[in-house]
Amino acid sequence: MKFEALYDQYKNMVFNLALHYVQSKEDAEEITQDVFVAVFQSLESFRQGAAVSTWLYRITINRSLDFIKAKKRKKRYAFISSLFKEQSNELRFEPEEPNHPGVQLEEKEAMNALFAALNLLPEKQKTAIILHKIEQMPQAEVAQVMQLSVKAVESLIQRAKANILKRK
Amino acid sequence: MNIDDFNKIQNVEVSPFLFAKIQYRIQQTAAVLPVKWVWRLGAALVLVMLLNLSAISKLDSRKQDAAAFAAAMHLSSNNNLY
Repeated sequence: MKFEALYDQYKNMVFNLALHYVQSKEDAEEITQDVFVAVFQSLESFRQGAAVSTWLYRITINRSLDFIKAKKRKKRYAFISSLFKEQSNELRFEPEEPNHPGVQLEEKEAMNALFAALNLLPEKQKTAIILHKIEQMPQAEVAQVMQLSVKAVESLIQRAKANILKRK
Repeated sequence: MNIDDFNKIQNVEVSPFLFAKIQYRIQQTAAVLPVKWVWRLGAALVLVMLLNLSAISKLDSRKQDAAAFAAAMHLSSNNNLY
């Protein structure tokens, strides 16, 4: 499959999946770029028999999680350095509020609380909930993407729901 | 908090300029030598250096063998007649 055709077919899927992880248009665009650059570089070695969408889902999930980890590291550094630069005019670190462009204004407050709880979940629970609840994927397909059994996915989703509801 | 509220999230269209940014990044990464090639080049250089060192040390030992042989046979190791 030609790269440009692949991009046209899957760009929105990749972008929206990244958006569910980072809840920021700019960050999701950066992740989407990372994903398609990686896709371009490994297109020749991609096994034609496997589903392209499954492959893309996995790359996007991994890049999104890596992006979040890198951002947390930068935040930690910014916070620590702000403690030592009390007298400076530099802006202190301000935590970012989720700003998912796919959320209507009237739903923003409720959704932000939901996203805040989602962002506190362990990676696998977060991925399972995003794929099942937001991407509306059946559990069998989630299991295929995450390379887990259906029972394991079911357990992840249950625990994720319990953890989210705990933060009411 | 209702988890089913996640269903209210709408899909967002990608910016039409994103592909141009991706193409630019691909060009940038193509201009830089891939990391694995840098390692391969480094390994090749180390191999060549080791081969040279081994050749030089063999040459030295051959010279020493020749000098020892000449001494044992009471031969002169230089070409001077007197």
